[in-house]
Amino acid sequence: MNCNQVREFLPLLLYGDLSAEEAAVTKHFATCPACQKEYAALQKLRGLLDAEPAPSIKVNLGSVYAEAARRQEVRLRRWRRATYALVGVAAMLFIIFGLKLEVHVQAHQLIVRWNAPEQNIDSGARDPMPDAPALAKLQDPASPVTADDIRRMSAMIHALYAYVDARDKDQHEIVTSLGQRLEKFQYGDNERWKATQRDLSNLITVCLGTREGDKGAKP
Amino acid sequence: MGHPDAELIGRWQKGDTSAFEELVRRWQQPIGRFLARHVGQTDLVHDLSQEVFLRLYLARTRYRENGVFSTWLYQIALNVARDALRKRRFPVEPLCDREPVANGTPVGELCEQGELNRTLTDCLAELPEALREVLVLRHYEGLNFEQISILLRVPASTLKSRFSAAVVRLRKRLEELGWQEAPEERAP
Repeated sequence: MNCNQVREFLPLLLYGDLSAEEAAVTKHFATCPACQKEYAALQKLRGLLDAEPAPSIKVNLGSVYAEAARRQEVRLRRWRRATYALVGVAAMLFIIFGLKLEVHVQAHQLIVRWNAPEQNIDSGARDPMPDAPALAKLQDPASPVTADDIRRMSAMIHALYAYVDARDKDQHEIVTSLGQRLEKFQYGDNERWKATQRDLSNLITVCLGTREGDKGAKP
Repeated sequence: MGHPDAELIGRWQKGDTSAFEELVRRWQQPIGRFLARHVGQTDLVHDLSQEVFLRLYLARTRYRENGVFSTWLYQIALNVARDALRKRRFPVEPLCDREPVANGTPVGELCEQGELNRTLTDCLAELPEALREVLVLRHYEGLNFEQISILLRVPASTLKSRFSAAVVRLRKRLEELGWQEAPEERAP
């Protein structure tokens, strides 16, 4: 080993951390004044490092406890906010999917319905007031209103909505159909009128043409 | 003879705050010394020490019995020191701007020991963080390279190289500033 190689290991030799390289370093060290001088300098440096005074520290435990309580409170508040946000999102999803919320625009109006019934409306036989006795009971101000009455009323309102919606669709279909038939009539009328005009024209031509032909002939 | 750290930790985790206070009393000086050497700003050491034991208090449930408490505590102190160094706004005054001590002046003739200590502290602060960490942990805290390896998550062989480089650099820097060993000293 040369001096440059040995000097890399001198700090480890000084602190007793050399292992496998120790024999080679020690052998060179024993016969090299330059490395011995370097080693001495490192020993002095170690003494200087030891002599440097350390600050005296006394931890204020009261401050530690107070700050710990404050940080825990901040952390708890953040968790609470996150929990509330999560519960809010879950509630919204429940409202939308659980109550079968339906939102759409119809006739320039925003319509929001919940628990909307299925769309397979039978347009033939519908009774918009399926529970007339319940309605009669609710219309009587003297009779007490129970939860069951409210439920039946809610069902009636939903049925009425469905009836009106289905009726509106039927009427729209009827109007569309009538319009199409009218167009057909108009088209048919136009064609017949044109045919009539053609026939009339031909008749006039024939009559006038016969009369002119008959001028020269004796009756 | 006090209770071992592991016993104090166990009592503290069960709710005995006096055990925590005993740990603080036992470790506040070594941690303060470590922070002073590593950060190099003595006016910050008190606040940083408070932060170390605050984080220790908040991490009570995270300590596992198979760990070594001192390693865990030094890990916390190291993180606090690194955070402080990252946040620091003041530049380290380069020592080359200062007037060097007259050439060949032996240590014993320096005007004040305080000036030497300040110079030494500043030379330590000039070292790259990776070298300084190893030097402080090995020399001042007396940890061996295997313990430092666990703490810093760096192989022991790499740490040995860093340690040698730190010592040699420190020695050369002091020499540039006029420090010289006494000529009569020789190697053993």
